[in-house]
Amino acid sequence: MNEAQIIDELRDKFGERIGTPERLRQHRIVVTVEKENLLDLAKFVKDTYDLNYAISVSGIDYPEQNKFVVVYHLCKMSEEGHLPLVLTLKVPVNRQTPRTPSLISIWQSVEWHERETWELFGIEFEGHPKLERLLLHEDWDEEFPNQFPLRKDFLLEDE
Amino acid sequence: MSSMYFSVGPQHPGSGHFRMKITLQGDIILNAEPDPGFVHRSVEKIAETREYLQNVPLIERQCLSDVSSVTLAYAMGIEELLGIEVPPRAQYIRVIMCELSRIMSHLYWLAILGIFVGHSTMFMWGFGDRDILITETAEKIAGARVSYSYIIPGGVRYDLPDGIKEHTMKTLDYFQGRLKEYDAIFFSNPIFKRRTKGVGVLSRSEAIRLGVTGPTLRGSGVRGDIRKDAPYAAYDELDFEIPVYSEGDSYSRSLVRFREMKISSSIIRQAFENLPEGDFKVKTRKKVPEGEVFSRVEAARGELACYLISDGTRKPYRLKMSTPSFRNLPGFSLMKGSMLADMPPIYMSLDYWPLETDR
Amino acid sequence: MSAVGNAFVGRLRSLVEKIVNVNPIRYLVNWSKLYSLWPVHLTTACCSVEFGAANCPRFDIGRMGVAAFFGSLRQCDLIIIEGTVTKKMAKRVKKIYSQMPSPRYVIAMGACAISGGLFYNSYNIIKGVDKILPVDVYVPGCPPRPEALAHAVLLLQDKIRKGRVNITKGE
Ligand code: SF4
Repeated sequence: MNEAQIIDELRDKFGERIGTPERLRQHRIVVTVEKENLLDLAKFVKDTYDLNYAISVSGIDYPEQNKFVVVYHLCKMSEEGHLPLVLTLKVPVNRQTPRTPSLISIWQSVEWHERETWELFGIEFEGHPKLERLLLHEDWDEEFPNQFPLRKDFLLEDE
Repeated sequence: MSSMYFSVGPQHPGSGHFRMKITLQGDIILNAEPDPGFVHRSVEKIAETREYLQNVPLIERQCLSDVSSVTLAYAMGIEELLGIEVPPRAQYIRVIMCELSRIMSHLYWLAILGIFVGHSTMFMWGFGDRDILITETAEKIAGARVSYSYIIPGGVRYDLPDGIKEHTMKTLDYFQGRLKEYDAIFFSNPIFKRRTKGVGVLSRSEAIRLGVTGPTLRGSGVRGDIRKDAPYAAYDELDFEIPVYSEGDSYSRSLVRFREMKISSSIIRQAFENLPEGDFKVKTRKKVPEGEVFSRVEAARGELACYLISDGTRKPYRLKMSTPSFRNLPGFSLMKGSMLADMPPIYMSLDYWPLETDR
Repeated sequence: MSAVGNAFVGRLRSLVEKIVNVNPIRYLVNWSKLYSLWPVHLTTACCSVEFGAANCPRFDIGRMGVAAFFGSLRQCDLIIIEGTVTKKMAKRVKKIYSQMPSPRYVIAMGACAISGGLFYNSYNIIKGVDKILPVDVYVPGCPPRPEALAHAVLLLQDKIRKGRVNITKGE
């Protein structure tokens, strides 16, 4: 399955409900999707293209546009190895009420990644079974109440 | 029977900067939950405040036993954004360094696995050979023992020194002999086999579902290796195989790494044989154009991906490293239901490196 | 014990200390400590790679009298801080240090343990382990070579050799 086919199919199937799928370079496709349609799209790509392997989940902070973006990188793993194609799902999340559905029901492997993103960005993943402290120390809440280190408004000492 | 709760680490011979919360009933592990974060040094946040080149030593520190692949993923990302081609000689030198550090990391792992299963000879041999053979070769090439920041955007920092080919070939010849001895004393050792065979079995479908990577994946019968599946540097011009074992137990995961050391030596040989002449680096700009890139390499512990977002300035807007140890964290659920004495072999067979998880 | 008893023990202790610090005896006591340093096995960050190398055949700090690092805390008298101490680890480091019997010595290994090193502006580290523990020897480098660690052990032994014997509690 090549990239152009996937892009066409996604556009046909979802039309207005997703942003235009974009081909960054060979083997990289980026799709922007609002969180309302995220689960549908995720189910669709998993079932149709068999993208069964989530590589990473990251957050990005855009304070000027008043949003976070949660980024999922997905690929296909079969017995014979990875498919070189990486599909990127970008989910914009409002900065005031950062909530988005968790994809753990579709890819088990996003569990730890989502937990890390929750901790460092403060993005709530609805339906995630265990959003608990992972990397930061136990007294974080006393030391920096309501602050999340990877947000852009959290400044390091020499900035 | 009532259950007992205790934690292994962070002060514990072997576990390092890492804690495991274990619930035990009798001799059976009911639940094993990893508790990372003891070395969370906020590399991703600091990277946003430093320039692209300054970040090379910084991200290298997240995995000091396998430094080349980490820096390579980062350098590849920047090169893609800048749109520059790295000269072929640099690509080959990169392959040599990556394979050297793969062997280095596997020997480190082998030594610690040795002491974990009570085999102190393997501990001594592993560390000794790592120092005398591999670290010294890397030092001759790059100028430092472990933290050499050798791979930079645009190529590598220096050209290879004179006479390094002969030195490396001699070293690898000797290392081949040592590998046979390792096999005889350790991997064919009936005690080691008993301790690891059938222990911590991870089935193929479960491995894919949990998203584990690297030798842990290949020990479960999945031929997943970025070097073959999405070749980078000069790997598509070299001839090598990917070791796969389908049993999915601690023994097969160990054998994958053992075979990889041999294959890595052969890759290094080929790279030296085919080493092209020419430049070893090209000039890069300090400002990186706007854009995003996702570059993947196969590090010693598995697939390492670097997600880099640039806003056109001298500093990255966001740098995310998706590291193999982090992705192998779900593998700790393998300990559930096994005996407490099986915990060390399972733990070591995942080759977990806490710094890489925490970043 | 009664107040009188306490005062008596205190006096006795200071008397013994005076005697012990007379030169030949002091030398003997210090000498007996020199070559059996028992380090705690606590790895705090990536300097542990070089710590491992220092313990192993090529460099082998064992020949300077640093014993194997698999002892229990209660037998240890040396703690080598191998690199960055994060805030989460700092608590544990303090706890471990307080469980060791005195006399106890601390070696701070690596730029991170000395001042924060590469991660000087991180939000999650202690900038220099000397903020929480009294450090005897600093080993610069990132990571320090195993030879440097061996040198640090020699420096520490020098310090012990010249030091005063202290038998009162809470050294
Ligand atoms: S000094 Fe360097 S090698 Fe040591 S812990 Fe710090 S960063 Fe790691």
